[in-house]
Amino acid sequence: MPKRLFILLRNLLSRQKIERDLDEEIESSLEILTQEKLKAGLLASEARRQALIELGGVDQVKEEVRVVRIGHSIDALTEEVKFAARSVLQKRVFASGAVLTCAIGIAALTSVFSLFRSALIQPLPFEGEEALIAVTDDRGAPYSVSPPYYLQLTQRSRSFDKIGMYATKQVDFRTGETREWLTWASVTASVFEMLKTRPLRGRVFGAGEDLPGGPNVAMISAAFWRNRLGGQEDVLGRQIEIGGTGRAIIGILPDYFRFPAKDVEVWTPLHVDFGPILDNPRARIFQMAASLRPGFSVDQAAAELRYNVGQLDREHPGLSPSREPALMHYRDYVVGNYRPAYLVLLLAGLFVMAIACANVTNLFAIRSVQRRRERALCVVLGAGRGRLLARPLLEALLISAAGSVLGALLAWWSLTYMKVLARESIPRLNEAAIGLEGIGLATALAVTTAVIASMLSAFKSPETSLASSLSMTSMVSSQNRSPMRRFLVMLQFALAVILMIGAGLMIRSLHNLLNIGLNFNPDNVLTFSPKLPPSLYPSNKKRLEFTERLEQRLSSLPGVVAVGATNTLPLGILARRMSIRAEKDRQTERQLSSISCVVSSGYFRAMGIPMLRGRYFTEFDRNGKEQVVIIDESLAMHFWPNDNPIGKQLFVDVYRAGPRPEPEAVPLSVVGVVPTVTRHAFKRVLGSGVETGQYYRPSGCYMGTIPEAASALIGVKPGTADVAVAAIFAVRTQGDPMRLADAVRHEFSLLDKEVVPSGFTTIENLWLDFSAERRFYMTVLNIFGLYALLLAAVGIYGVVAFSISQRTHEFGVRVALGAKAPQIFRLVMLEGLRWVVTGTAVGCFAGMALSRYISSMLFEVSGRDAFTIGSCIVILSFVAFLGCYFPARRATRLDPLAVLRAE
Amino acid sequence: MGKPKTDLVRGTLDLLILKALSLEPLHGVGISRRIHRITKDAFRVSFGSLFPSLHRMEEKGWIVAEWRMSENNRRAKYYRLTHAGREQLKNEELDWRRVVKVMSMAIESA
Repeated sequence: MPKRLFILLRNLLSRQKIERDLDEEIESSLEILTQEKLKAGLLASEARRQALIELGGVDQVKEEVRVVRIGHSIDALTEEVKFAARSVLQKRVFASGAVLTCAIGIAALTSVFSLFRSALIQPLPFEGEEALIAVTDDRGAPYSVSPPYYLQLTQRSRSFDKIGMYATKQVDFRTGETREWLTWASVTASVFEMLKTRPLRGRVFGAGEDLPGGPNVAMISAAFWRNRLGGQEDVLGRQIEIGGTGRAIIGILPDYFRFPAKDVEVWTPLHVDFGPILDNPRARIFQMAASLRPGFSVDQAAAELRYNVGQLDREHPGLSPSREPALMHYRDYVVGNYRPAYLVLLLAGLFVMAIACANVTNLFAIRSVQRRRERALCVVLGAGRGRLLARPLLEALLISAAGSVLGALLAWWSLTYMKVLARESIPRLNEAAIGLEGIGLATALAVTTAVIASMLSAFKSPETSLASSLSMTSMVSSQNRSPMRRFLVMLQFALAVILMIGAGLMIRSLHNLLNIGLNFNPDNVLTFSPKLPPSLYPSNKKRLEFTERLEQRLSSLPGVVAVGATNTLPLGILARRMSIRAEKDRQTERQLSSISCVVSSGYFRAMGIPMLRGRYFTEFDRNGKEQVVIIDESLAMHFWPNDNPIGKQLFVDVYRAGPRPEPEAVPLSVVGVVPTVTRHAFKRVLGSGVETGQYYRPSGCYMGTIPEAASALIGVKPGTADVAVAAIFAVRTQGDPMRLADAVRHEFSLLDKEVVPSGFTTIENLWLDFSAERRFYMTVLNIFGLYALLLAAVGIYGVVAFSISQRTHEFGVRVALGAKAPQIFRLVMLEGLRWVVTGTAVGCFAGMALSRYISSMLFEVSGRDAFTIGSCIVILSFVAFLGCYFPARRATRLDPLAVLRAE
Repeated sequence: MGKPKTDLVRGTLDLLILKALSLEPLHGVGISRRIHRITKDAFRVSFGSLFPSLHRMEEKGWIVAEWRMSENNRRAKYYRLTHAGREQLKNEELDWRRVVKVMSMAIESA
């Protein structure tokens, strides 16, 4: 066997030498034979002729020898591949069309498939993730609980294996002189058990450590250890100061551990007194997650939870949060409302791929018909069936391989671009990477289609009528009106229409979104918030002092037009809804759950919100005897549709801490009315289409007293009177807002070195982020729609042009019989357009039917929007017209005599 | 019926070539002439069969080739038996005699 291998290698590598040797041998044998004949007395030319006859044909003999050689099949294959490559390069138009089509299809499908896979299929990167359940309210927002409530639920539940409670916060971390801010999570020990966490070093919190009086320990993330502690070896047991409290590091968590949020760097055990059951909504600042006990389903757990909540409500009325709890897999919670969007994008990618496949099929089918002559020649020369099939197969493989490579590159670039475009607005998008599955799937599809397409015609065509193939006489009609080609063109156009309708609807959505009346002026407004370390500013009162002094200083800076502060920015993520009513009685029907805001007096000017009636807040409002409120138009219309709201009273509840916290109704006097800041600005909190209105109270106003549970976390004595603080600053500037950032930092340092501003951005950026999601959908669908259009155009052009080229004889006859150019033209156009019309019509109906599935992505536009659909039809018809026009024109230019003579 | 026949012919041809070369090295044409002689004009082997067989047998290692000057002062490729070739010749001769004996027996009987 090794000998054979040696010979094989020799045959492959020294091919030229061996061929030369063979040539020489045959030539020399021929000479010897000729000599023999000469000696026998024949003339020179006759001798040579006889010698040739006896030898039996030089080439045939050589070929026989070659066939016998070891490694011949490899040689033959290489020859075929080279030939296929050459012929592909010769037919540049066909080849580039096919390669480009493959590439586009593969790129589209791979990129969206990667998105889809990383978001919806791949598990979140931590163990135990399959059983992990998020507890939300029925709207999908976090279900916030108080500690006693959590404890009660834990004791009563059987379907959960472990339940954990946690809260996250920004907190300061001190090393030496510097103070930095990071995200901190305070968790019960059960959280780590739930997630089956294996720390990188050290250990996780033990069962007793999360009770009050437990040790001050902490776990840090691997990133924290690397970046802030320099990755030093002796880190366990070291003390770090978090939020003013010293803690000992007992463990390091690995990079993939991202619970409860991506950027948490420190975890500490939750030292909360579960004590007597408190009826205080302000203690509900914790969230829950749980792991399912094996054998229990989410539905069972949900039913049990609802039952338990009902029981608890009966035993301790008012304890539970006002909404119903709902359960879902944690993974779904993270991706949440975006699932339909991901699906839609995947579908769009599939459409583009389908159009590409249809194109490829047509292109190869056409090529196969063009190849009939060559095929006939091969048969004549004695090529076997295998060899006949090998050539188109190899061509198909080469083209789809080239298309795959190009497609992979395109896909990688597309995905990178998509991530940038989405600006973090879509969850888990950034985890997407081109996986092998994505490329594998798309490539397999492309290759399969190419192979099948090229094989189809090879199998279909009969070996009969060799003569006609060789002479290229006019084809039988059936070849021209191939039903498959017609069907494929229809399919292409139908899919293209659907894609374009989707894209068009997205464009309109974005247009609507960008033009909604914001009722505030987002230009040139800088926002930031001061990071006030709880150790130095333990109470709201102290924070209030700081923010007021800061506001004063900032308003005197050059370049500043107005300064204000709020606790809820429109377009920001934080917004709270509280109940506000027109009567003191809590059960009254005249109440609304509205967005509650606390603002400084300069806020409205800074945000460019005009005052419709009444006045802005002044500094006297805070300490005055009356509590005041400014409401927006929708509240005014709701409570007093026909009256002037100024001077009327509204009531909100604040809570006084005590053995049983009592709600206290605070009367608010309406002093001003402002326009409604569009509800869409708060869509993240509200969901869609909910009228809630918004009310504003001045910063420093009375907010009840601080409850015990929260005081432990905030660090103040329970029972202290609470004031409201507006800590998000909005500064209207002349010119580019970011240029003032340094001046602002300077002011901070003058007031208090320990306080730094953070979160510098402009309202305009927030707006871009807000619209990023829709922009992203729109861009992706637009690009796909364009791809589809391009591919469909290439498709129809190819098919019509080919059809004409096959019918030159027919046209020649027609012209000879007296047909004029316009008639030929019309003939071709009608035929081509007929295919298109059917496809477009089908696509329109399908598109309208499917559009209801994307309704969640749309904005103020119906799925059957006539303008959109109409424009799509027009554009597509124009493209189809162009695709038919050029070949049709060429048909009219045929010289009938030349054509007929060519027969 | 077709396939066994070609095998038989190929095997026969191999044996003839080996026999032809058993005395002295020859070039392709020479081998053809010698086979013609030793079969007393009965077998005329075509060059389309001879050359492939020669090259196959060379790859198998039964014969080796080298370029030499022929009797007419022309370059020609001469083949000669190797040691393995001689072994193969002996084995093939034995096989052939056995086949002939058995076949004769079969045909004679009945």
